[in-house]
Parts: sequence; C-alpha cells; structure tokens
Amino acid sequence: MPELLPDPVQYAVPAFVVLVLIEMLVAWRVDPTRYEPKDTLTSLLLGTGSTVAGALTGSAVVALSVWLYQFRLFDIGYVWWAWILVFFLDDLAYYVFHRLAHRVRYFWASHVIHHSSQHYNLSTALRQTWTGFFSLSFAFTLPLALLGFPVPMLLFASGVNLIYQFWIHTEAIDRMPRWFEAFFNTPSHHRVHHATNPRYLDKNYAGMLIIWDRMFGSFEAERADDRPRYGIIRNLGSFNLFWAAFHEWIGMAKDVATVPGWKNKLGYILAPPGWSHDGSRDTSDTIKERWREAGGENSAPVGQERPQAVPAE
Amino acid sequence: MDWLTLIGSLVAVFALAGIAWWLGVGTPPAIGSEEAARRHAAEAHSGFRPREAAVDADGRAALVLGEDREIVLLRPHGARIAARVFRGAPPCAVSDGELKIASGERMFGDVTLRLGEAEAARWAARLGELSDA
Ligand SMILES: [Zn+2]
Ligand SMILES: [Zn+2]
Repeated sequence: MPELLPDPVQYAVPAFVVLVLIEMLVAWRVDPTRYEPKDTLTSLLLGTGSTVAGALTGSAVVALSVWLYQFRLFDIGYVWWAWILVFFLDDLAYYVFHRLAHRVRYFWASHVIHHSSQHYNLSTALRQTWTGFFSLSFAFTLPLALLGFPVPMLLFASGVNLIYQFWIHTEAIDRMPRWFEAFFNTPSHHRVHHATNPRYLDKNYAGMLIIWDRMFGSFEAERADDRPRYGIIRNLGSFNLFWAAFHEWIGMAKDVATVPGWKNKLGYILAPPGWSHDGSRDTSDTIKERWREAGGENSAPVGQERPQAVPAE
Repeated sequence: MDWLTLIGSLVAVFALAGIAWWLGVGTPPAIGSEEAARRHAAEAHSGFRPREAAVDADGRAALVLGEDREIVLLRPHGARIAARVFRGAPPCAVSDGELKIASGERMFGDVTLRLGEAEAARWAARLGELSDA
C-alpha cells in the first residue's frame, strides 16, 4: 500500500452539514418547497450509506490501482505539472463515466440513485450510490494509473472532484459570472443535468469543467422559459431508502429473468435505460423525439433567447 | 471510516431532517384544477395530449385521459407530484364516491380519488370502455 494523501472528502463533511443547514433556512424564507423532510432524510441516509459502501470496497480499488501502476507507461511522479494535468484528465474520465452512466442501463442502475430525488438542493448532492463498486465506476480512472499518475494523486483528484460537485446542487444561485459559466460546471448547468424536461435529458455530464460537454456536443443551456423539473422519468413515489438504492437493479434482474432470448437479455443490461425488447417503454431518445414532433423545440415565447448553438457531435 | 465518524454522521443526518420537519418546509402540493392536472400530465409524459381529467376533491390525486388510450395518473409525493403513464385503462374500483386506481406497483401504491358518487361511477365506466377497446 502506498502512503495515501489525506482524504479531502472527510474534511469537507462538516462544511457540507453547515451549508445544507444554511440553504435549508434560505429555502424556508424564499421557497419552502425546495426542501422536504423525508426527501432530505432519504438523501442524507443514502449519502451516509454510500460512504460505508465506499469504505468497504475502497481498499480493493486502491489495491487494483496500485497493481496496475506497476505496469505504468511513464514515470510521472509528483511533478508540479502532473498536479494540473491530473485534474483535467480525472475530470475527463469522470465525463466519460458519467455519460455512460446515463446511456448504459448497467451503469445507470447504480447512478440513478443520485437522480432519484424530485428536489434539487445541497442534500441531493449527498444522495450517492451504494453500488458504485458493483457497477465498476472505479474502472474509469484506472487508465490514469496505467499512464503513470501516482495512485494517491488520483484518489486526491477524484476526492476534490466530488467535493466540487457539492455546491452546484442548489437553486439558490442563479448564474455565476459569464467566464465562470463558460469553463466550469455551475448550479445552472447541473440543474439542466438533473431535469427531466425533454430538452434537458442526457445533457451536461460535466464534473468540474463544462468544457467537455461543449466539446462533445452534450451541452444544453438552462432557459428561463423551460424551468427544470427534477427527478427521473418514472419517479419513485416512495421515500424508502432501500427501494431508492436498489430499484433499478431489481427491475433489471426481473427483465433479464423474464424476457426470452440472449439478445433481449443483453439489451436489458447494456442498452440505454428504458429500452425494451417490444418498444413498450420510453427511453430519453423516444421522449425527445415525441417532444420534437410536438414542436417543443420551437415553443419559446417570442422575444425569448434562442438556445445557444452547440458544436456538432 | 470508524464508528465514531459513522455515528456522528447519523446524528447530523437526523438533526438536519428534524430541522426541516420543524421548519415545516415541503408541504404537499394540491392539484387545484382540471387545467393544472392536464398541465402536470403533459409535463410528466412527453407528447401527451390530454382530453379530460378527474381531480380529487382535495386535489390529492388526478387521472388524466389523453388521446391514443393514454392515461396519466398523478398524486403528490412529498412536496412534488409523481406520475404513472398507462396505455389502456388501469384496474379500478368504486366505493362511497371514491375511485380507486391500482398502479400495479407495490412501491407506488394505489391512488384514491374522491369524486362523488356520480362522477366516480362515470369515470369507472369510462375506464371500463377503454379496457374493453
Ligand atoms: Zn447524472
Ligand atoms: Zn448531481
């Protein structure tokens, strides 16, 4: 085992608690529907459970990374530029992971937990998965160990990434300064990511930097005339902790068990969420298609700003 | 992670949820009108074209009938509204002026609409026609 750097997440948790409290008091005065006690409890317990799950599997992930590190391509070490580079590359790895987490049901089954609240506040940020290890979310940063970034450096970078993503889960901040919105992931960009409005589905996968979405064609700007509605396509309608944590795994297992044919079974695991062998369910693509057919894209009231052009994919 | 951290976290978690409860944030929404029910249904189901809606007397639930035998069931979930979409009519039962819709999902549960005797019977018949169609 290598000498590990301090885990930044552990130091941030007390600040998380204080900030949730402050945001809750603001909501109480400004818009009391932003918080709901049972929703908050579910989110925070999912967050607590997630740290327990992470502690149980963490050492296995570190061991695997360290094992891969011995086959590294370069001896990068702790030079100053590696610290800068690692934040960009770790964030890019997060983007890839996150995009797949929304487009492959096996990964979605784990990630859906983070999206299962119909609220969008700082407690939602802590609504984290219990099954990240099982859904192989650690695999996406392994290439960086293979490249030659020291494992403690990688763990530190992904810890910082996780902390960064906390503050953007809020409706209390409208927009950051223009230059900031251009480069960084912000409350506005991430509200779009959590929204189920057809326009916003499968957009803004960014972790810390929004530049990846702009580069790879998944960026969508938040609009005043299409206010985000948060949650998932089939909202749970339940605050049950374990249902939130495992519902998609259960649904997937049932689908795989009941559908005939290997191709169909694989489809229920690897196709986008909502895919079905008989086309009876909605995916984000079918939802967007119907929305376009209904003229949704052009439904902006006269005088409203047009959505910002995105680079072609 | 040690036990002390875990216990400390749990104390903070329950304290925050307790404060939210004490402040009284997140009261359940009411579906105020047929118009609101249609809007919620269209938002919940992309491309849905609502035709008519049955709204619970206290706004605690609504059933919205659309084109192509599509039906959207709405009910509050905490401070938000949760929806289910059906193609064709879901099973229902009438008693004491209440229309009870079975969502078919244990965790979502059944949804009861207080409509009054006549309306409840009319809607039950309406759903019956749809499931026969
Ligand atoms: Zn996501
Ligand atoms: Zn998020």
